[in-house]
Amino acid sequence: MLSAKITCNSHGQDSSYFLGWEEYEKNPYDEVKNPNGIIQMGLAENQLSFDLLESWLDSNPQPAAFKKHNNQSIFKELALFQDYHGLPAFKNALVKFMSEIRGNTVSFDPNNLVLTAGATSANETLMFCLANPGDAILLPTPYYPGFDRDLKWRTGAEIVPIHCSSLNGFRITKSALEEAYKQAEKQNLKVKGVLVTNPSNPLGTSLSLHELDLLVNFISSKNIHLISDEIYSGTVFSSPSFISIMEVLQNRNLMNTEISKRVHIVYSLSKDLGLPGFRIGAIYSSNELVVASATKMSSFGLVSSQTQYLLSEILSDKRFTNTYLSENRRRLRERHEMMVKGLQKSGIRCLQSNAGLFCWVDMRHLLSSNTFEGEMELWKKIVYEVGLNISPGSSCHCSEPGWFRVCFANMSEETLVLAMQRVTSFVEAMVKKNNQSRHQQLLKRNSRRSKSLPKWVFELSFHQREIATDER
Amino acid sequence: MAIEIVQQPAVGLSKIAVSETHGENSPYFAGWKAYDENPYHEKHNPSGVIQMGLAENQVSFDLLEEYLESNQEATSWGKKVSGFKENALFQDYHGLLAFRKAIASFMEQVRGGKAKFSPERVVLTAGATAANELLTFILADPGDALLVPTPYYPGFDRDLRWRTGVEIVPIHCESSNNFQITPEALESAYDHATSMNMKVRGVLITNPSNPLGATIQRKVLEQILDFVTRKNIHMISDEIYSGSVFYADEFVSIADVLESRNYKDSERCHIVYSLSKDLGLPGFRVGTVYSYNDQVVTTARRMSSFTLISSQTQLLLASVLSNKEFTQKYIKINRERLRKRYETIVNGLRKAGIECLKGNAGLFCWMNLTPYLKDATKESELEIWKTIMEEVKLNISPGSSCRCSEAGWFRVCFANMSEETLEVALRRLHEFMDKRRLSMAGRKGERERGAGTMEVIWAGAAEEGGRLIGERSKDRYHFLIRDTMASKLKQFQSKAVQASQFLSKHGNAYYKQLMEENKQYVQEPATVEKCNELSKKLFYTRLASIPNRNESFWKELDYVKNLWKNKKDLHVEQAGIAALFGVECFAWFCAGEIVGRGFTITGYHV
Repeated sequence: MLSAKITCNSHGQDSSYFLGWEEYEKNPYDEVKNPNGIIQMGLAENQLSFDLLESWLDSNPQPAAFKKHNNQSIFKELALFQDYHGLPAFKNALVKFMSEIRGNTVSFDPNNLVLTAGATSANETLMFCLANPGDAILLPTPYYPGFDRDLKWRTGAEIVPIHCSSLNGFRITKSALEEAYKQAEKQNLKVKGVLVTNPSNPLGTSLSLHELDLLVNFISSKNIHLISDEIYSGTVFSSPSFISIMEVLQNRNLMNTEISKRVHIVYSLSKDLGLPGFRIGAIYSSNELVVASATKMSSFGLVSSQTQYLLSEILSDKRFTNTYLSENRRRLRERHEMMVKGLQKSGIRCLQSNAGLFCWVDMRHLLSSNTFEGEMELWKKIVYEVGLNISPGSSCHCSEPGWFRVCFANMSEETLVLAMQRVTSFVEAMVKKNNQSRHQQLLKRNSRRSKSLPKWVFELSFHQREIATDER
Repeated sequence: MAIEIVQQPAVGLSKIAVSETHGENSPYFAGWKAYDENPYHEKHNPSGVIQMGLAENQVSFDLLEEYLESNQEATSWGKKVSGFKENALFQDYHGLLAFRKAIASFMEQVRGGKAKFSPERVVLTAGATAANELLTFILADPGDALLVPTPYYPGFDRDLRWRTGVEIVPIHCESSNNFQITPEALESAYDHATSMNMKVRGVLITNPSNPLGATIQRKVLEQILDFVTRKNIHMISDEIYSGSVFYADEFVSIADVLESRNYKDSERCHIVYSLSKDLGLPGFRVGTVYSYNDQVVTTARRMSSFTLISSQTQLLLASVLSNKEFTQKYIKINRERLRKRYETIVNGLRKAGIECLKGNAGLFCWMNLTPYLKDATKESELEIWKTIMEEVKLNISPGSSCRCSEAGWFRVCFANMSEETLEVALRRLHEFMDKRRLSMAGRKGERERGAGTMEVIWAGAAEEGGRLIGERSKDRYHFLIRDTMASKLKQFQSKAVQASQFLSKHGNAYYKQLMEENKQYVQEPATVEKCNELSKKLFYTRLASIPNRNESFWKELDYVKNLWKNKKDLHVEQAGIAALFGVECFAWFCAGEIVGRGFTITGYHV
């Protein structure tokens, strides 16, 4: 009686990624009330800079109270404002903010901007605009688990993975792009475009100039679209610095060419300003048809005019945005360092990264077997025994088991310290246990073979497994 | 590094992106453009276009502003240190519980507390637009159909069809019974969809209706509920105007009907609600889906990720709506003010000689200009609409934009302007109607004067037709006309061949064939029931409007009879027209072919 959408699982919410959340909700950590609860490290939220926003609101109380600077009420005007082109003041402020994040090397035209209720809606809207049901979009793995819902569920489009590997730090290569394209063709899917997240979620790395060039060449030769999801662009906290696809187009003199009309940017204030509740997303495109069509579609998910007005006031305060961006980056860098060092103590390494609200953590050496079952087993232990909700790489469609996305900006420093302590003691206990069981196995085997083996054999087999992983 | 630009065919967008289903390029939007280019302003532009095509409620803003003034904590994040942070981070698609509770109890309040609403079933969406699309995504697959009574809100083409690939099959409603939905109309819409190989997934109604501005009677709701149960399909009741019913006791929600049925079969019912109309807050994008179906609730929640409401706005409205004293007062005063507005416009229009469908809800009335159309076609409707836009400078919505099956109806909004502006609009319309009546009379005179050459041609037809109409009693009219015409057809043709292309087009052979095919419809007098049956069979032809035409037909007939009584004054041309008119009526009834001349004597152009 219901549509196929209701019964199909491409919304992906039954995946382990969401299961971890459910587990967290049953038993959430609280410093005082539930110190043994699960710590949420699966949520890419930025809570580090709220004090800056709060102090701005304190010294500028009018916008939130529906007042103009002259204290006149703007309530009626806003309540009635439902033009899907958005508040001009807000769009102007937003494009300037986007430029500022990119070091003012590129500028954005507010007429090319379409507002949507969050990046979730922006990505879906772009898919509705670019792909027919059954068409494919190429997406580098590992990718944000929500994309299965955002890109596929209601549009009927397909995702074909561009497999990236730990061998080169999960970088996009020409051969991986070509391979994905071939795969799609093999499945009789028409490829409509490539979607990348830059900086990458879940890797926490920004794309290199080389990768961006590859992408531009690729979409040029295949005559397809490129969606660059840059919702983490304001979180790039250390070098190399962020390069937007817009800069590449500009530097290669491709602005206003046919190619630039095939490049679309997704942006949002959920991560960079830490305002996911306010549902502010945007599509930026130089393609008039896409802009026109997406604007019409934005009727299905407009941003509250109340929120547009507040943010237009916040973002037009240049002194504020300037301070916010640099201070926020500084705090993220600190947090990132804390986490990387904390994990290092337990012998856990992270992919070297420069952006985002998370680390891409390598726990391959803790797997009982080099399989996704092994990964799931470890993940369950981490959720239930260690009490950390992190995201397994498999939920991000990573092609190698053993990687996890661990968020660091959605909690207090104290909580992060505790989380690191929990990891340390877990790993210690695990190593101990492993050594014991291995020792016992060894004794058994030894008794069978009645021959003693030196300790390095185990070390060797451990290494062999790791090498095997890398070769995949 | 530079790319060699090879001329390639431009890469395509999706079919959705380039489709016109969103309906925004319809001529109807020309009215909006006209308004945007030259908007009325009391002082700065008193001769500008008055926007009467926008269903906005501006009559009660003072109440909200007053509330915000005296409850300033509603717009701040409270005394709690983490108030802002907590709110800004809140992205749970369940929505703020406080807000869901508040909106559920507001919905109860609007319905007079008869039906109960559980916050657990409230799914929040960014406006009713998204709510309707979301339900369509959940209930239907591409190619399936939803039945929607006409006239309907023009935005539904976008909301229900555009991205979902679902089709709307109209349930044709007619002015003869005040555009009420009938079981017959439901059945024939269903049959039509089935005959087009579409799977019908549900019925969507707006109650109170947009654009009719009237509530749906309990009896009709019961019939629809029985219908969807029998067909095992869904029912969506879009009740976004429920708080704008100004004769409050006349509103029955589907929730009330379900309540009285003990929620039997309720799992197929879904209600759409919004604060855009009842509270006048379209900019805040607050919509909801309220479903009695658990699976729909779960899926709708997941889907609402694409269309969440700003947590800032949720917090504000949770405060406003949970103040029972305020909501009670607001609902009452808002209704009173809307009623007053409604009475102003209806009385003003009546003075100008224009009638409206009797309404009891909404922010608009459904204005009847059928007597003033040149003929009963969409073209004539758009012509008068264009005149009103360009000369009277009012932007109103033509019924054809709402897919109305009868030409000549218009939606006129009255709550998006000041009382003074409404008065200006009414004055303009009054003047316009006076002028139009004058010029129509003038045109008639001209026609009569220039009729000389036609006289000979008309004479024969006049003789026959006139005799016929004069002699037969009203009740037997169709029957006899058929008999007479059958035998006289040839004679007619030779006498009136030039004047009546119609007759030659529908000449002997064609006539016979049609008579054969439609025997059952002409053997008895053409009663309303008979016409209804006919309309069912020929759903997509404009025959659907027979009952209405039947009525105006009798009016015309009386007019003709009256003319004939004063035979000696009758101009030969008029007699000829009368005869032709008779022939047309007759052929129209037999053949199921609409002549499209508007079925009036006065409307003929010789």
